[in-house]
Amino acid sequence: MGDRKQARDEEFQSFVVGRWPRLMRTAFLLTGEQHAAEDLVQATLEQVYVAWRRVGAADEPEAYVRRVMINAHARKHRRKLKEFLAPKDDSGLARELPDSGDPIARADDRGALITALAQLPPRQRQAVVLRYWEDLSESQAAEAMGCSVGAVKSNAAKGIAKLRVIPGLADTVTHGGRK
Amino acid sequence: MMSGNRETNHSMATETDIAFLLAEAADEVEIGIAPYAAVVRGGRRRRARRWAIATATALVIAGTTGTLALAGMPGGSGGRVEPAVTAPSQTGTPDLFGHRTVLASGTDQGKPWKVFVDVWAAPRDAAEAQGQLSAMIEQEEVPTGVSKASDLIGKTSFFVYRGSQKGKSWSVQNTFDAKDVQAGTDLESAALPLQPGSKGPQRLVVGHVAKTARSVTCTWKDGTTTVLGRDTSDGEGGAPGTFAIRAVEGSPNSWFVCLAPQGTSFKSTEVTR
Repeated sequence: MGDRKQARDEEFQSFVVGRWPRLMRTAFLLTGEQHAAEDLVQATLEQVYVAWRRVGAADEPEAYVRRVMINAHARKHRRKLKEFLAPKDDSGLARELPDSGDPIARADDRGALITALAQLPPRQRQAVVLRYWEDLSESQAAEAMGCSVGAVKSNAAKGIAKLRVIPGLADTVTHGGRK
Repeated sequence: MMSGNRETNHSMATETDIAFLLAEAADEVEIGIAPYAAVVRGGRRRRARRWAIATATALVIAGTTGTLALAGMPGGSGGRVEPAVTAPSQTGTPDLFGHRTVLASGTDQGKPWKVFVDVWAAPRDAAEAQGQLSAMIEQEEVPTGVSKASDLIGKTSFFVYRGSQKGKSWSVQNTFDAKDVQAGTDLESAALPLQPGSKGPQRLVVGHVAKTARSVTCTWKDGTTTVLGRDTSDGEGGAPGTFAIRAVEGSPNSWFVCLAPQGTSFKSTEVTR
């Protein structure tokens, strides 16, 4: 029995170490901030630890982990905790459109995207991240979000529509910056 | 500020481009080293918090693989505790409608005490869950956080009582996935005053462990210990005056109770064999 527990602990450790980078990236897109992402991933993995005996034996533990992370992210918003990357009021400042070919411009685009993501309603943000970063199917995303496929389609479409009009991104595409 | 004209003038990014940019943006995060130890600590705290406690208690969650040198005798040596009598389990069918098991009883400073647990086995479907919830409402044993029958499907529930407590006045309660069976040195316990409503020292420890656990050691603040062995009477109650790890009808785990001697209180508890 002790050996089994030790084996389970080792499995969980491997899981944590192996999935940490990917989970951090997903959490970063969901939260828009380094420390919030770390908190979200750690909270997610703590919950996974509690259920690891069952989750570790499942065919696809990743699906469970995604569900936990999305729930944790949703709870945070229900509690109205302030996110670090709250919408910034930059009205009155003219947004320059830099040349998309240079690294600074690319960094600016990434920043613009993260900012725009952070301004999306949580469900739209989750749908966009799950569909276009995690590359999940609509039904997989629906499972992770605990909603219907239709709701995923709707939220993803609305989210994408808002991201499409980010000036820097649109310009990049126009100039064939990163096909 | 972005204008309507600008929206018109700039082509819209394709979904593929957005996927690409999301990948680039995700790379901006500093990955760092996975904080495995912190995750495990936090996980254990979360597991412990699943015990809903009705009074001020100390919660313990342990999963150590180490062992402690066994010292002291049941009841400890630092104080005087009247022999506890472990009563036989009450009869009943271990089904969906609750089963009561007396975990331990005795007399302390002339006052009788008793600890028992009501376990509700996990319903398999909506119909069973509905029947169980109706019975729970009738017996005033609706678990914390349960608002509808479907919340109970696949979940085992328990309610721990001290003395003559009943109904809503349980001391410890939890509802958990029936598949989440304890193993090895897993242990969940709560420490609380012996008498309900008392603000006295936390002398009573109630917990559950894997069915394979053979020894639990309760360590008290004065350094004495109480070592519990496995009840050998197949759940029908151990010898009078002993504390033991015992099987409980309807529960996927075994249960134990230990009581600190007078003048000291709970420090720690763990599975030692």
